[in-house]
Amino acid sequence: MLSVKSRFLAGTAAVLALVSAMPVLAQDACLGTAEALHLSDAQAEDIRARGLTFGFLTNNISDDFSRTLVAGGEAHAGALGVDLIVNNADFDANTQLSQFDALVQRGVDGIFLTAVDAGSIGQAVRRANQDNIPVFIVGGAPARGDVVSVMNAASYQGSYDATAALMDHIGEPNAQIAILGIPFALQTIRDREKGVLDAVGAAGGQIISLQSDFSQDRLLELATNVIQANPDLKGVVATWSLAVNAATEAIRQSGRDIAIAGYDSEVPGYMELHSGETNIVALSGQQAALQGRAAIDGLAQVVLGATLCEEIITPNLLVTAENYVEMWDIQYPGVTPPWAD
Amino acid sequence: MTTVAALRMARTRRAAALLRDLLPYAALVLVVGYFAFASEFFLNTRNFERLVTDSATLMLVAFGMTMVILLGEIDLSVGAVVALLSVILAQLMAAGVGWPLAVLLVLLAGMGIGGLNGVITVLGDIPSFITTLGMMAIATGLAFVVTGSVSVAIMQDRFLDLFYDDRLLGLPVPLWIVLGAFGACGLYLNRTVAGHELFALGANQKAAALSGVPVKRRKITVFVIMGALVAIAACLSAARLGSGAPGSVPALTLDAIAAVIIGGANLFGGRAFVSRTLMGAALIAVLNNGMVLLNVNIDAQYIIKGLIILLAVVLERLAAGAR
Amino acid sequence: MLELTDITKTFPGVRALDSARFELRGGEVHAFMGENGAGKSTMMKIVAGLFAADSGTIHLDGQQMRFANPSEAKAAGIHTVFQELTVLDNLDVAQNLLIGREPVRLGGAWLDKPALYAQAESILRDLGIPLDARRLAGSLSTGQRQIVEIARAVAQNPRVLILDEPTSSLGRNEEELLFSLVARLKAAGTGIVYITHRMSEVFAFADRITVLRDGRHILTDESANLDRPTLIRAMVGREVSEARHEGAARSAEIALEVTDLRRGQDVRGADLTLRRGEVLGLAGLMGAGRTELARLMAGIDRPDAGRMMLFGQSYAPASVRAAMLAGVAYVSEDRKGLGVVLPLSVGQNIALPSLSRLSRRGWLSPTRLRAFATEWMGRLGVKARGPDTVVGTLSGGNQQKVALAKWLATAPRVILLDEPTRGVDIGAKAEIYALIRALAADGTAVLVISSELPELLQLCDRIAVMARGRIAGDLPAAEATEETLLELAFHEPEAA
Repeated sequence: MLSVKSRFLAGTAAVLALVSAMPVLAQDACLGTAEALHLSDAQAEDIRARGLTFGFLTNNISDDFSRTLVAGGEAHAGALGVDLIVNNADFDANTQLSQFDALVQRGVDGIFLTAVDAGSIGQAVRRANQDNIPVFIVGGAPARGDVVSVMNAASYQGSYDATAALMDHIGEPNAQIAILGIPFALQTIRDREKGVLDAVGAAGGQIISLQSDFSQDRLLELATNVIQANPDLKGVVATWSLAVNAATEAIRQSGRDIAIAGYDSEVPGYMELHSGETNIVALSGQQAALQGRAAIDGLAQVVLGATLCEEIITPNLLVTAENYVEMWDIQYPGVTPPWAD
Repeated sequence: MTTVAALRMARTRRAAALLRDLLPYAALVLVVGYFAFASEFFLNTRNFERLVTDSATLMLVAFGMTMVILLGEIDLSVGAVVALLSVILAQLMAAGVGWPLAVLLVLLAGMGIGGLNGVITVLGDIPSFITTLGMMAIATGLAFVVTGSVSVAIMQDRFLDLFYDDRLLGLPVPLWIVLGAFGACGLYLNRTVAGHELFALGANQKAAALSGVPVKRRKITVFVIMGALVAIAACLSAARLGSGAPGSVPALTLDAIAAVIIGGANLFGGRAFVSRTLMGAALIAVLNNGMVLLNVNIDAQYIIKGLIILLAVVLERLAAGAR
Repeated sequence: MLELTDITKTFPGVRALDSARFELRGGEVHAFMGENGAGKSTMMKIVAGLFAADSGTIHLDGQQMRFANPSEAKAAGIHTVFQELTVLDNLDVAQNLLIGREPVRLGGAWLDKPALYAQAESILRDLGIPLDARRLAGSLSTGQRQIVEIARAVAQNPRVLILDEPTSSLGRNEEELLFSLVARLKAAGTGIVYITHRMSEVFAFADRITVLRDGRHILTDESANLDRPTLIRAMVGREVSEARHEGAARSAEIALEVTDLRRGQDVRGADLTLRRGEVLGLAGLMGAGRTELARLMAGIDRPDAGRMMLFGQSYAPASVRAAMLAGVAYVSEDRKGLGVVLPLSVGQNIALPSLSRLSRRGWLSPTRLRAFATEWMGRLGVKARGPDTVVGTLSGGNQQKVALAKWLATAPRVILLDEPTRGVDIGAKAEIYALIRALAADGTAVLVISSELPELLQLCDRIAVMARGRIAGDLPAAEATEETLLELAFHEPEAA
């Protein structure tokens, strides 16, 4: 299954690469999308011949996103004959720093990382800069040092699209909407919330509540209270995975007909959609596997002399009850769906 | 029959004692030898300098932990306090305080926190396990509250250079700081009245008290020294990260305790040596460094560290025997 | 019913029991007497299965028994209440009473709590003990806990009950309760062994008396046929042949004087005078308050009331350090627990109290420390390879010499020695005696606490006897005999 899928992806990639690479070369501009990073067959052959080693540092491997990201990166590195050193920092910034320094020390050809703490990796990035080792980072730029690019999911667009689908589904003006989120002061979270606000505003709805927490229990409590306090509530937008679960459960318990849109589509979300009777209208899924692949492509492009744009956005998937089967295969390539048995 | 058994037991005990005393040195030699053989990147000056600067924080905290464990006490708060102090340091500098003053203030704060641990433990007659567990939670919480969960970048390059990159007589500054702290702790334990009394105090507190040792004062002093070392460690950690990170060092406490145990200390007090702790900490640092170079996963590092710790503890028990 | 014959038990260096015998009838109270160290406790621990005898036999109801451990003895119906209480503070009265015999259900997996309390309450009611079954043992007084301990044994309908100094911590009411419990068992045919130092109780209470001395059986007789002087003679009895110390004329200067010193139940108004250059012995029975008094003088504990004068100046040490600085040193009876630090070296031990004096502004020189330790090892004849030898590996006598050296090295003006020769072999004893005499000759005031009367008679200039927290009297060693000393030690103030 894996090999079929990856061959399919590789094929698609080759086509896309041909389409996108030529104008880029012509304009001598930066590469700015995941598609634009794809290598041509000749480039892939070149990379294979170089016998490169890349470092791939993740802040943890305990969530779906990180595991899928690593799997995507490993599969693609394997296809390109790149030796990939994967290290997991277990959420310890010091460990990540040691791992980063060790990669610099052994003179790898490029480092990709999801930082435990972007503020604390800058010193190490500076040392990589001194050795001319390209660094490609997810999330946000470090406080010091230069990276070749920052990769981000389409947080704003993804949540805008999911919310727009929700508003469309409700189909009435002045619909009351509540947001269930996470109290993280991260750019991606702000982008997600902004996407929701804009989409609700564009559809003429109104936000009546914004609640957030880190734990699913507490989120369930908050959602239940919001539902009870607002008899005219029409929809809930949950901006992260546990909030999706909490909103689903709270609405099920209330027995009311309230629609849900969510950011993050993970196993529980997919199972909801699979159940056939769900209030979820749409989920915006981050393509971790695609990001893992783009990480390898991006570093390879830099080795080959290309310039990456300051930010590279990977598009999200809009997962609905109609398309969830196909979306699963794109989001989690090679992974057996949870409803298969 | 019984004398034969007793003789055999005495022999076992002596052998275990010898092994225990050799363990940190032997394990270090073995591990260094293995990595030198297994990784082409291990045996060079640059890697060793990095190893030293990376492990300076651990070394300082482990020295303090040696004295705390010598007393039969423990300090679980060090990792969290390092994070808190590094955050305070970064925020002081971000607020425009010059680095020398910021470092001084952090040093005082560290001694204050250590002193608080000591006073509560000693005067409240509360196990230090509990006191410092509480302090750990408070420091962790404070670090997050103070920063709003975001790390604070340090932009005073003079500080970053001095505590991380600069060299003195050809050697990195953190190495000098570690050597200085090592010498100071060694002198304190072996050449001062207070240090000598710690050994008696740790082995038998009642007997020490009956011998006129000012038990409370000595104990609190050790916690204050621990706090000072933690503060210096926080400065090195902040310089290395280039920021004050609220959740930066969860593994530090356990690694420091492990270093002391591998150094053949007795967790119940009365036996601990700074020199062997240095070896134990070096062993952990080399393991961390070498396994990353060999691309061994972090989980395997935990297992190998754990096995060495268990070996050290078993040898210490065998050597202590039925005394 | 219970018969012990030819029991011999040797501990390293001591023959605790030497062909001793003891015989107990059903339904009698049998008092078991002797000086401290006569072998009473050892004998009873053999009966209880805590020690194995080297030789000799135990018969219970005509059957030969051998108890490998306390549970075997209990299974045979022999229950013991020792001085060291085994009541668990964190359990309540009911749980303590029925520990190891808790009612269970569901095949033994579940504790049947209602049944536990019902059973405990019926035991307490039966025995007439006014205690709440649900009360936490930790909140009981020592006497009440002793009662719980005794009730636990009584509730198991023992064949033989051994009570080791049961009244030492009991109040008036509890004593009466104990006597009624004993009377009840006696009526049921239980044999009761009663170990005590209180003469009055023995005569009021025991049917027969056995006296043990130096591990040997001396006499067994009906208590009606005995009187107090006979008993004391039997307990002391040995020929007083040891060389006496010639009490030379001593300086009249008073080194340490305590007046009406009190602390809790242990020290209840003690008066004592210790002169320069004399060795004063302090005799007394176990629990008379000797160690407690010494601890007050050494600054370890603070007195509730009373006054101390040191060389004519008021002396109220707030800590051991303060006492040390004033020139008063105390060598503990609990050598391993309090006297020396076993895992440390001889040198570290000897230097410990003198570190400040040896330092220059807090800094120590290792060479100086070694020289200091080596010098004192030599002075006291500590047999060890060197100052780096670990104290825990030395013999008892050498450990004691280290403990002495450590304190003598502080150059005290007054030294308090608590059981200085306990667990020390004969040769080392003689050396320690010589040391003590030499100290006194140098003008140090020495107080020696000892439970061995011959030792005191041989070593001291003067001997004071302590009984129930006060000094019952003192007399020059030359005039004292073991009889007179014991008479004082058994002294019971009228209103005690």
